[in-house]
Amino acid sequence: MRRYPVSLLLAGMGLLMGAADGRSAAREVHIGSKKFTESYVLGEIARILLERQTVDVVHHQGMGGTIVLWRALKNGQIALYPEYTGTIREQILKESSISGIEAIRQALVSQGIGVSEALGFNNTYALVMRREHARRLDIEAISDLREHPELTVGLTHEFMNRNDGWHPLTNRYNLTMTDVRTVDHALGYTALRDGTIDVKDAYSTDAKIADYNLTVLEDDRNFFPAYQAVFLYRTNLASRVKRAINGLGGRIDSTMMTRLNAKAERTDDYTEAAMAFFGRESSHASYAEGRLDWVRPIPSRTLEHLYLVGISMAAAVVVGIPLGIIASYPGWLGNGVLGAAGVVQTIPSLALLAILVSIPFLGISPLTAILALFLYSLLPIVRNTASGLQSLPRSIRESAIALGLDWRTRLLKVELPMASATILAGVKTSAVINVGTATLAALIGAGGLGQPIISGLNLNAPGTILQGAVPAALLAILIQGLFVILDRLLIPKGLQVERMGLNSFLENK
Amino acid sequence: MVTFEKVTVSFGEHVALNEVTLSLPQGRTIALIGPSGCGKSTLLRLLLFLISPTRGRVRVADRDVNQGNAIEIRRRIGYVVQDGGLFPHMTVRDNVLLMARYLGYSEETNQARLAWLCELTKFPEGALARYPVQLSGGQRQRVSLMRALILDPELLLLDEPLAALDPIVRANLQQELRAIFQRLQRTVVLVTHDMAEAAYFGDRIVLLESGRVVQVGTFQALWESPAEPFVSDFLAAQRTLSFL
Ligand SMILES: Nc1ncnc2c1ncn2[C@@H]1O[C@H](COP(=O)(O)OP(=O)(O)OP(=O)(O)O)[C@@H](O)[C@H]1O
Ligand SMILES: [Mg+2]
Repeated sequence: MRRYPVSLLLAGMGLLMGAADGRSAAREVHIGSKKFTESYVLGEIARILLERQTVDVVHHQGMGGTIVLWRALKNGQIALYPEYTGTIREQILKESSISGIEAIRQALVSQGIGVSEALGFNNTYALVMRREHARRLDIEAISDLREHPELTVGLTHEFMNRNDGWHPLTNRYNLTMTDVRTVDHALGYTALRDGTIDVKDAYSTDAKIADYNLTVLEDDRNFFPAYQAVFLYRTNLASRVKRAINGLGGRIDSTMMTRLNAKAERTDDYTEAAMAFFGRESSHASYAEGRLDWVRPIPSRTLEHLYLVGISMAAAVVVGIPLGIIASYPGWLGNGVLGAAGVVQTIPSLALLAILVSIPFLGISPLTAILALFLYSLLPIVRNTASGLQSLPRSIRESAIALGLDWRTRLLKVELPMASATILAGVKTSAVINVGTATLAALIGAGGLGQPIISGLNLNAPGTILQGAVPAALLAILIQGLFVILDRLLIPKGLQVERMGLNSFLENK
Repeated sequence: MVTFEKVTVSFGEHVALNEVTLSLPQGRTIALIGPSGCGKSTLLRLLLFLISPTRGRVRVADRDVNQGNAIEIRRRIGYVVQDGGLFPHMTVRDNVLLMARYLGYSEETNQARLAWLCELTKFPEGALARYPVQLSGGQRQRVSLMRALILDPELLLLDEPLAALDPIVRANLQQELRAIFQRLQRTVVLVTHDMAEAAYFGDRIVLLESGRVVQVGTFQALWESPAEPFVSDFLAAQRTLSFL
């Protein structure tokens, strides 16, 4: 959504996305969520709710941005996800004139998508102040600010420049403040708490509002568009599932959502926050259970990670070595291959993911992640294969030709074995890069060790980040070790000079 | 059996061989000599079609060497490249037998041939399982020679086979090599920098200078009737060097 540049990027690229494959498991209900705290928590609430009604559910946490989730919903990869009416209007329907949930429902029903009852809160832009400060100045609504032009305002860059941002707001309310600065969102909260600024823009359910004892000023002239939270779902869902989801209508108000967000950020645990909604306040047992939920997946996430790395690396080796052989020959074809592999490498990994996500039949899936990793792993293998072959001594190359060997035999028996150390070094470089880059796979719902890293970044929870980062780093080290063994096994003995140095020479003499 | 007819080889601007016409007598040892960069290795490379002539014809066994027959001609030529060119990832045995195995000769034939080559080149059979890095310089040259001889070639090309060896080893190997050539009775082309070596081996000496043939003849002919001043200068310079 608005505050997450990564998902914005993916969402933007997602616009190009064609019909992805419409696989949908027969019995399981797949829930999706966007990549920010509130969406995760709402997704968890839906999961727990359905699980309690003995529905088989899977929650794909933080799959991406609006368009990614919308596409996934339309083609059946997921059956429901939490969304906001303002977002539906602006980004999905692109019809600013549509207003009200009923109108949105009418517009979506023909596409086989239903809109749940409003959950009860509105996550829109808002202006916030310190609660006690506002009380002292007797400010409750935005129009009350007119009496206080002396207040210092700190705004995010985005709010400052939006069409529904600061300038239109001051026009609507005739505000005349002069001390208006731009501050980063997170820093702005600290500045507000410490009194450096007095008024700030916020999302109405930001956790910090509760944490820092702030108050949301009433939008008494209805300036901000409504971002009512709802669930979007496929109308072909079982009716008891639809009934359960609609049962959430009106049960989560802003105060509740703010509290749940705060809890999620404080405990680093979305499940824990979602449980709080069902009234299980953080008793010791459930807290421990919630924590364990994050600890338990490490082995399975590592396996997921290895799966992504393994498949993409195998493909990169199988394709990269032949490409490297081609690239080792002088001429346009060889240069072209090296150039192309080099260009792929220069695309930032996020952008590469975004581009691939937008290709029809790829979309958000492990396949896309594997393809991206494969492309990333190619260059070191291609380049090392080519340079390993090119740097063979001329006398060796000429001897092989002069003996009367055909080119295939020369390649297989002489040139590739002699270049094996260089080629293996390239494969190793690829593998290490691959393990690191594979953490980004979580951005497109492909899982792996990136999942806790992204959740942790989102929650600003170093502990959670480490649950992904540490195993990923260990994997990288493990791979280095693995290659020490592979080097011994795969590099012909005669080339491992240090292994058969002077000692064995004297022994044999 | 080997002829060059008006062969010119140029690498871009640089002319490595200029209108070389030469024919090599069968069954003899020919020494190719000349200053560094005069085109000796280039002449050998032409016979193997490692490079092709810019102009002119190169004939081996009465056939023009070309893309179509290159592989077949190469298998009839033994080649010891300038610095040995042994495959470091293969044992001595695998290096020497590579071509014989590739062509599907029986392992029995191969081992017999290998034993004979070891005896010919005085290479210890016990060292056949070693890798090239585990050999001395002289041993390495013996292995290169065995590898070149495995298919019993009609023509043997050696590019400065002894240049990298120290003088004592070199003197020994010179004698052995000459004995080997006499036993083989094949056409041998041996490239060298050293006039004494050329005189020792060569039934005939071919003297090159900057890509052209200056004189062809026995050492005696070069010594007594030099074709041009360069020949006597070259001989004089060589003598001075050997005194140092
Ligand atoms: N592939 C090549 N590209 C460009 N120039 C070359 C190439 N091969 C050889 N030459 C040049 O052609 C000339 C003859 O080279 P060649 O290797 O035949 O010399 P040589 O007589 O064998 O010298 P040396 O005794 O030093 O081995 C040299 O000037 C060399 O620099
Ligand atoms: Mg040379």
